Amino acid sequence: MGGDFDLSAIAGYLGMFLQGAGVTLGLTAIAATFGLLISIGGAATARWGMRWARALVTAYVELIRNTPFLVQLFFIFFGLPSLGLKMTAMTAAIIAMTINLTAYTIEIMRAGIESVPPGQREAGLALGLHPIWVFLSVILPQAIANVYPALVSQIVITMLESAVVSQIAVMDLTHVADLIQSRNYRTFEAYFVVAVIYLAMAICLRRLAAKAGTRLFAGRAR
Amino acid sequence: MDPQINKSAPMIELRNVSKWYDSFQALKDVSLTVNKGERVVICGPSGSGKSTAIRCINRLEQHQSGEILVEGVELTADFKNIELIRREVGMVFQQFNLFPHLTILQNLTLAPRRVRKMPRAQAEELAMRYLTRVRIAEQAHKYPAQLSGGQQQRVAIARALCMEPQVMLFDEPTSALDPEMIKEVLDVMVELAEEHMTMICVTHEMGFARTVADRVVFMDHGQVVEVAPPAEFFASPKNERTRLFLGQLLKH
Repeated sequence: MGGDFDLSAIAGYLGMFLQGAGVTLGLTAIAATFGLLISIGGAATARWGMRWARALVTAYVELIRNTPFLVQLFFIFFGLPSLGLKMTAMTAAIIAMTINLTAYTIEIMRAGIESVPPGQREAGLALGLHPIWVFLSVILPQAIANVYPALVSQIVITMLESAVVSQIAVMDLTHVADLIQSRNYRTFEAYFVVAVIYLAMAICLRRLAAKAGTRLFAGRAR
Repeated sequence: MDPQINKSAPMIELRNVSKWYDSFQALKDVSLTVNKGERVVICGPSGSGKSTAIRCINRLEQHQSGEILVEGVELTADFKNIELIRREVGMVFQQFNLFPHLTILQNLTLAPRRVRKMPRAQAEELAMRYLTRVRIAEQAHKYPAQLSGGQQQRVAIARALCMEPQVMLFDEPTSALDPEMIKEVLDVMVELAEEHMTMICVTHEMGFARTVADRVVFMDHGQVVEVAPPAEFFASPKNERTRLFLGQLLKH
């Protein structure tokens, strides 16, 4: 054990910490982008799709929300290669995070769509807009505005849960801490610093999103 | 073959239209012809099917038997027909249904740009023309929530007019308004009528019916009970149910 708490003992690893934080943020950004796009389609399918398509979305959402993220990650990285699907740890991490986030954001997005009064859709259709344009220009912007805080929250959760990808040796923030403490046995300091960095990133992300939200949805309140 | 509009056909024809919600029959053999330039007011007690009838005309509701024709084009499940008819038919709703996330100007330009593929500048010019007509041009850059109910409904009328429809449907356009705002909306509707816009109005505003309508239709229990010019309709209604309804209106 390292004895006294001494941050200077790990000061030399600052660059590694920052790199790890960058990987964590990058993974989160990619998963959030794909996840939100897919969940728009998923939520629309859940709402208006054919019976079999709705069943498929429901099955996906239930499967992912009722199994541990770590198991999903291992299944993709260690399980799929036995079916001939090999991929790098980074790819596996991105896929697992996207799949996981999407299951939750589909449900959030669906609640958002359902919160838009039916008169909005009727007004769009009555104007002769194609149903796809009614969805994209009328319903979706209102749906997203209504559930925006929940979406942001889910993205923050995904970022924090992404610590799990260190288990398949992706060089994320948590893996950096693992590495450092295995080199100098400064376990407490390493995880202390990592915790502070996660905290700072999560708070910053929430603040930035809140600020962007008020600008994005200004003047629209009913 | 693509559906074709027949300019010499009546504007709207309903032939024995029936509609059910599960086992409840909302429309029973409704037949009604509205010619070009004609102004028709539909009245009747709540639940009489009057809103359902006009919502069937632009397929917001689906009728199950009978025929609906708009300028000779029959409304079928074929999306081409529905699209064509919706471009010809404007609608104003009781709850205004403006798009709250768009400015007034964007509310008006959305459909012309997306449906008519109009360039933005031209769509905005068109929108400003109609906003001026409903006397609300100075609010163009505000959001709907910043306007009063009467102003919002006038914007909704202008939004429908921007698609330059051949016929306008009004579904109780003043029922959600505070009394002092009803007149400003009716004034706009009267002007529209004076310009010979074909109109079907579901409304309880009997003063409007008296001065503007060519014919008044009374509906009850999903049926058309009586159709008559307003003078005749109000002075000597033939049907007992019509008399009862008018009597109840006049009591207040």
